[in-house]
Amino acid sequence: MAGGGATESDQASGRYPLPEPRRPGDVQPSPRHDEDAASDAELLQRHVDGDSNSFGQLFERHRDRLWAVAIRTLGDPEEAADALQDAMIAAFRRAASFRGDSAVTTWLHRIVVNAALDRMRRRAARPTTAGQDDEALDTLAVVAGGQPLSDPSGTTDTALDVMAALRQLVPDQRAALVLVDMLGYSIADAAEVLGVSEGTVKSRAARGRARLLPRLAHLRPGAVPSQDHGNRAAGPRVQSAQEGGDEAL
Amino acid sequence: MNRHATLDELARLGADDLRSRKAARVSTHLAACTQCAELNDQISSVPALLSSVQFPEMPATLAVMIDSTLAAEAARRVAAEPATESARRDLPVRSGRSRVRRGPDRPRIDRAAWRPVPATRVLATAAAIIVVGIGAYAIASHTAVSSSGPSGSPAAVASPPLASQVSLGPSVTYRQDDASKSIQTVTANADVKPATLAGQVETALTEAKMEGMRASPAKTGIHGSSLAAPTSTSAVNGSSTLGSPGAASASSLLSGCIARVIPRGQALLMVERAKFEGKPATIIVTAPASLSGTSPPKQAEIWAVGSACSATSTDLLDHVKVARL
Repeated sequence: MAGGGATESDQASGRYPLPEPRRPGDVQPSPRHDEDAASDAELLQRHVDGDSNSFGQLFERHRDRLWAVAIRTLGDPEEAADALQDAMIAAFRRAASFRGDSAVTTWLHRIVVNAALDRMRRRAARPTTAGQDDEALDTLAVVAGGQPLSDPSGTTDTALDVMAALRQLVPDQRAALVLVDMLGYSIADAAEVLGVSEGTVKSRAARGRARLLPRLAHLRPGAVPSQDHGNRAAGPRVQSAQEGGDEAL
Repeated sequence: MNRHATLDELARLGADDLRSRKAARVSTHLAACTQCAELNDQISSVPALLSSVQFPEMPATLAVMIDSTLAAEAARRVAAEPATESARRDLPVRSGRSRVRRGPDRPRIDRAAWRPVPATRVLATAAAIIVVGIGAYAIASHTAVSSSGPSGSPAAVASPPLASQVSLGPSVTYRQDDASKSIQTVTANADVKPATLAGQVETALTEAKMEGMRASPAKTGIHGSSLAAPTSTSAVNGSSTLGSPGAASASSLLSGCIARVIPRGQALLMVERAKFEGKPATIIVTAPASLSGTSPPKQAEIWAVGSACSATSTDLLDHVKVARL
């Protein structure tokens, strides 16, 4: 995913490319204080040096992308809001630890993903009350100032089904699918954000897709929901394959 | 390959996660098996399905909330700086530069720094700092200590509010909860500092009340002891009550800014044109609607926004919550 920013088509499709990683030497204080022209690294360095506004500018610049990661990873607007806020506070305080080995935006993404994964793991560790997930999905259906969650077909069912299916995945697989499939990051960028090897990202994404398919088969283009014959026929095949059934020819 | 491919194998094939020999075997099988080819099509469609789902955009209220949290963090950081003369001169630039220098000897970041911190805790900390600032201001104002004293604390660095520096300005109309309301702005010549923001706002509120008592309450929207009750003005259009086109444009920006900043369930108490750390700024004071009639206002929130604040951008300079003004 080369390039320094999102193109119009990227924005339209909801995919957010990451800038190319910078070298450590890029993080240098700039003699200029032109806020618009300041790079992410310059803004972060100014923040580390004590400037009160730089981090806010950095957040303003990337907040939509960071929100996109948080909401897709957690699937719950309230949890996503908390995770994003936690992440920004952590980034604010940890800015001095940024070594410049990656792009600032990659570093920010990593912190947001980690905050989201922490929340997912905590949620998984504590006993859930019945209906908690339904509550989150209900919230997801009516959020953002009353704007309903939507998909291209104009219904919320697809989105809710997808989120419900994603919730069944382990956090690491889910994070990989969010970055690679939902947001269109390259394997290399996703690996950098997640702090794992590219092979690990591929493996997590593949296993995640394999586990999602049985839950999403009815949403495939052309599939007729519920009682469709083709769909029923596909179900057991998918199920046996997922379980590793080595059905002989 | 004398069996069907598993779903896992197909997914790994699509993700380029199979060893080349196994990938070749599965591919060969796929070419001859329509059942597996169909399953492969299904799993290949998963990424497209996932990417087609649209999610809600970031709520504007969340952006404002995080902006304010970061501003509170910044204020806390500035307030914690050693009050040396050079540090004061360079504020808000941090003086302890060596502490953040990167290098191999830099201590590891404590894991606790990763621990999520609730926004309320951060804001409470900021509020506590403000309270200390108010105390310092009260002492300074009673003992007439110069704010530019060389050994003052950060709180003492801020200019104490001067008497009679507040005057009533033009009214501004804004929208809240689908209703059009207006409030008379207050103009102050004070340079507001983060450390004494709450104290200076309290002074401005008091002085505006005195000014408002000489004006028509219905006209100013400032009346009684609460300074609350921006007047609902369905008859007033959204432009402004100002005269010149430039002023109207500024008022329009301010209208949008107020509508963006004011949280749901909060009532607007005061809109003050002032300076914040030397920059043109607007101080917006809100309190829970249910408590805005109390005197003094409880649980007030103070928003310092820059001149770029509008309906689409907050340009937040500082935000604090105070238990009581």
